[in-house]
Amino acid sequence: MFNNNRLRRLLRLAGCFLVILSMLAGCAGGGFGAASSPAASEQAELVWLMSTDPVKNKWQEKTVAEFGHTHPHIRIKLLNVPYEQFDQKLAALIASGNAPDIWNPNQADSGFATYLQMGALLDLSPYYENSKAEMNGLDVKMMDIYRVNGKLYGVPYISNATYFYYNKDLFDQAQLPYPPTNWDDTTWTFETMRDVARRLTLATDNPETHIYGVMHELSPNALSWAFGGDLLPADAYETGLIRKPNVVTAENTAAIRYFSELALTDGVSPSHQALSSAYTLGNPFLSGKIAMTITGGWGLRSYQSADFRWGVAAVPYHEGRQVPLYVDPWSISAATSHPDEAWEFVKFLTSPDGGAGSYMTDVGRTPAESGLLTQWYEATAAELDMDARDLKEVHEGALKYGRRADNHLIAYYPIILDTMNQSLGPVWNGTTSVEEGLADMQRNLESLHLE
Amino acid sequence: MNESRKDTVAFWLFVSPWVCGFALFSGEPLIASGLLSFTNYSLFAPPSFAGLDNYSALLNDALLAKSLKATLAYTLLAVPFHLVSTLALALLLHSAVVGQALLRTLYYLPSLVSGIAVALLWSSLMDPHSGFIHTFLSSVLGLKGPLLLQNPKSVIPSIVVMDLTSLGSTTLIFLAALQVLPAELFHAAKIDGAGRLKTLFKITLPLLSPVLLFNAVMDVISSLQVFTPAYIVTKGGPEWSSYFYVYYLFRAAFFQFDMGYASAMAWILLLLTFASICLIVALTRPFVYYENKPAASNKGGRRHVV
Amino acid sequence: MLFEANRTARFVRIGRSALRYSFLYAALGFICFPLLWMLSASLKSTAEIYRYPMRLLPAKPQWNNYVHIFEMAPLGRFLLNSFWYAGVTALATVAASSLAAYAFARLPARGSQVLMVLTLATLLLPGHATMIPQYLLFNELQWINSYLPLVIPAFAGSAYYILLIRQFYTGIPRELEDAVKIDGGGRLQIYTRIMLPLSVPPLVTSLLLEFIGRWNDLFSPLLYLNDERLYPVALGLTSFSSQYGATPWPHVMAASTIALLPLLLLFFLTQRYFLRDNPVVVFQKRSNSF
Repeated sequence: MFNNNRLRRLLRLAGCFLVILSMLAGCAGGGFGAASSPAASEQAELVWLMSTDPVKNKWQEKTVAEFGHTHPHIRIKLLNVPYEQFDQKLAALIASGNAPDIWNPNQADSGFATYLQMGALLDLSPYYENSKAEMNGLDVKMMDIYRVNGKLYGVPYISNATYFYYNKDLFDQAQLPYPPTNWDDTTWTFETMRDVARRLTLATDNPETHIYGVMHELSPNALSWAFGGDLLPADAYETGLIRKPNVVTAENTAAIRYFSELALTDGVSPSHQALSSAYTLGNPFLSGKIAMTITGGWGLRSYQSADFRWGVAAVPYHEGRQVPLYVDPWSISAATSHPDEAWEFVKFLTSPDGGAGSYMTDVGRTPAESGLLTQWYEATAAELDMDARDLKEVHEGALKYGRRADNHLIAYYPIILDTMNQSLGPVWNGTTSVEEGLADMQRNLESLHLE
Repeated sequence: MNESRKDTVAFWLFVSPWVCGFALFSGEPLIASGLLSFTNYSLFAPPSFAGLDNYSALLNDALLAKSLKATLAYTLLAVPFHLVSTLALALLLHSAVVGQALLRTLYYLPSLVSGIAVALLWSSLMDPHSGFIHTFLSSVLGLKGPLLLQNPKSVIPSIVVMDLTSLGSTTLIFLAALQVLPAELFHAAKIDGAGRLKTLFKITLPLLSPVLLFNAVMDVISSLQVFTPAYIVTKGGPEWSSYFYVYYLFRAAFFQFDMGYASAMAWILLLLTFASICLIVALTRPFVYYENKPAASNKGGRRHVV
Repeated sequence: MLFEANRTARFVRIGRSALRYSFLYAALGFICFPLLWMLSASLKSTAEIYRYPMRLLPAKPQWNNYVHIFEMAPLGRFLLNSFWYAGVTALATVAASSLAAYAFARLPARGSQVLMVLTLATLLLPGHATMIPQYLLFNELQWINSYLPLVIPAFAGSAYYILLIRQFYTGIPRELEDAVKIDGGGRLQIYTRIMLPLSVPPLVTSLLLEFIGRWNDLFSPLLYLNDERLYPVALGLTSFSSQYGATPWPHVMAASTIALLPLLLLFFLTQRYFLRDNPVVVFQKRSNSF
C-alpha cells in the first residue's frame, strides 16, 4: 500500500523529536519574556519602540550603546515593529499594560492627537522645566506643537518640511529655468507651474517615452492648505476632534479643482489611480518620467538613489499658502514605571551631541535642534550639488509657511483620511464635479461618530 | 460496560485534546469578545458597560451597510468561481497527463507564496499606468487596458481573479479526495459505455459531494471574512466599494479604538455566517451522498451536517 | 468504414488532448505569472525596479542579491525558527485533529452534536475580534515574547482539519471496523489500524497545509514576539522594508524566494503520499463507498 508502517514510524519519531525541541525552546523563549527577573540587576529597564527600518535600526543600536556608556544603570531594550502593523501592535501592548516606555507617537497612522486623547502620554513639563538650560537649542515654536493646555507631551527631534522637488535633467532638456528657492517670489505661482508642466510634458502613446510634468504626494487637506483653504475646521486642531466640518469653501474648491484639472484636462499629471497604484513598487518620481513633485522632507533621502539630477525649490506661491510640517517628538508613556530614567534617555535622544546629531548624519532626516541645522544645510547641500544658502532659503521658507501636519493633531486621523480620500475618489476620476465631491465629503464627515 | 457506554467514554477521550485546548485557549477569548460587544472599550482604559448601544449603532451605520454589500458581492462571485476552478483543475490534474507530477507542483507553487506578497504582486501587475498587463495590452494588442482595481465596478471581480494564485489548497483537497475513489466504479461505467460527461455527473460528482460541500462551506466562511485584498491593495476603495466587513471591523478596533463596536460586528458576522451555512447545508441535502446512501435517508440530522 | 471511424476517433482524441494540454499550460502561465514576476524582480537592481514601464526580464541578473540578503538580516536564523515552528505545530495540530475527527465521525455520544456545532463556530468569528482578549490571556500567563502562545494551542488541533479529516473518515466502511472488533480490538485499535492508514492522503494534505500556513503566518508571530532573534521568516522579511519608498525591493523579493524553497521541497517530498498517478483500489469488499 503506502508503506504506511514506515511512514507512521517516521512521523512518530519526528513528532517526538519536535515536541521535545518545542518544550525546550518554549521554556527558553518564555525566559526571554515579559517578566524580567527583579532581583537580578539594579538596572532600570526601558523599552524603546520604533518602526522596523534597516537604516534606523543600525542607528538605534549605536545610540543604545552610546547611552549605555554614560548611563550604566539604565538598560534600553529595542522593540521594532513593521510600519504597516505599528498601531496594531502598540494597541495590543497598551491594552495589556505593557506599553513601551519611549516612542514616537507620530510614527504610524494614528498620530500624536490620538494617543493624547487616550491618555497614553506622560506630562513632561516638570522634567522640561528642570532641564531647560541644557535643551536651549530646541526651537520654542516647535516645542509649542506638543504643548497642550500648558502641558508638554513630547520633545521634537526631527522637523521634516515640505518641498518642491524637480528633475534637473528634464528641465535642462526643455531648456527651462529652475524653479526659485525663494518662497516669497510671487512670479512662481501655481499657474506658472502649470505652464511649466505643460512645456515639460511629452505626451506619447509609448509609455516608455511619456513624460509627465508634475505629481504630488499631498493629502487632500494639504492640497487645500496650499491654496489658503482648509478642509477641517480650525478648532479641530486644538481639540483633536471634528465637531462642525465646513468643507465647501471657495479656497477648497479652487484647490481641488486645480489639482484635479492637472490630470483630467491639462494632461500634465498622471491620473490619480495610476499614481496610487504605482506606489506598490516604489516612487514614481524616481522613475525619471515625472518632472516635478511636491512631497515631504524625507524625499531628500529617498531620492538619493535616482539616476538623474534633481533639486529642491519653493512650493509655488498662493495667497494664504501653507505646507505641512512634520515635526516628530519622542514621548514617554503615561504608564511607565521609570519616568526619571525615561526622561534621561529622551534628553539624550534630543541632544545635538547625542541621538539627534547622529540621527541627522546616519538616518538623514532634518533635525529640529537649531545648532544642528547649520551642519545639516552644509552636508545636505553638498550632497545635492546646490548652494547651502539656497537650501537654507528653501528650508526656512518651508518653516515660515509651515503648519503642523494634520495627521499629528487630529484624533482618529486614519478614519478621517479614509473619508476624505474616498469622497474625493470620483472627483479625481472625473466622474463627479468638484462641488459634488466636497459636498459629499461634508456629509460623510458629519456622519462620522468618533469620540 | 455496554457498547454505547464504551463509545461515549472513547468519544470524550479522543476529543479531550480539542476540548482542553478549547476550554483553555479559545473559549475564554470567544466569550470575552461576546461580552465586549456590550461595552465601550478603547483598549487604553478598562471596558465600561454600554448595554445594546453598539448593536443599535450598527443598525444605523451606513458604512456598515456598504461593507456588508461589498462582502456579499465578493462572496457570491468568489465561491462559485473558486469551486468550479479548483474542481476543474483537480479533475484535469488527476487524469493521466504528460508531466503530471511537475504540473501539479507548478500549479501548487503560487499558493506557497504568502498572501501578502501575492496581493502586492497582483496589484503592481494590474497597475493601469505601468503594470505589465496594461503595457502588454497596449504594446502588443494596441488596446487601452481597463482600470481594474481603481474602478468601483470592476474592483471586486479583479480581486476574485487575484484569488487564482491561492487556490492550491482547495485543489489539493479535491485531488486527495479523488485518490480514494474506488476504481471499480469507473471501470464498470466504462464497460457500460458511459461517456466522459456522464461519468462526471453521475459518478464522480456524487462521490465527491461531501468534499464539495466541505469546500463550499469553508469557502463561504473565509469569503465572508475577506480582509487581505482590502488591507494590502485597495485600502477599501475606490469609493468604499471594497471596504469589506472584516476590514471595517479591523479599522474600528485599531484605528477608531472602539473594540466594543468591533466585537458587536464580529458576532453579527458569526450569526450571519452560521445562518448561511445552515441554508447551504439544507439546500444541498438531497445532493450529498454519504456511504452511498442518498442523503435523504441518512440517519440523524445533525451528525452528517458537514 | 471501420477504418474511417477509427481515424475520426483518433482525431477526436488528439483534439481533446490538445485542448486539455493547452488549457492546462495556459492556466498555469496565468497563475504562475506573479511568481515569475517575483523571481525576475529578485534579480534586478534597485534602480531597475523603478524603471517604467516594467520589463519582465532583468537587464543584468544580479545574482549577488541572494548573497546580500544574508548579510542584511539574520535570514538563516529566521528560516530555522520557521522550520521548527511550522513543523511542531503542523504535527501537533494534525495529530490532535485526527483524534477528534475520528470521535466525531464514528463515536456516537451525547453532546457530540453540540460539540460539533461549537467546533464549527470557532471558525466563524473573525480573528481580529478575539485577538485582544487572547493577547490579554497570554499576557496573564506571562507567555508573551515566546512561541508558547503560538505552539501550545496547536496541540489541541484545529476546527478546519477536524472537519476535513472527519469528512474522509465518514467514508470508510464500517465493515472494516467490525473486523477489528471481532478480533477483540477496541476503539484505539480501530483508530490506529484502520482509520489512520486509510486516510494518509488527507492527513498528509493537512500536514502540508498547516505547515505552509504557519510558515507564511505573519500576524500571530508579530503580535506575540518582541525579540527579533525569535522571528520566523514571514516576520523577518518585514525587517527589509522601509517606510518611505527606500525599500530594497529586489532584496525583499530574493528573500521571499528563498523563503519559498523549503515549502517547495516539502511539497516534493510528500507528494507521493497524497498524489498518486492512478486511483488506488482501497476497498475490496464493497463496490461503492465514500
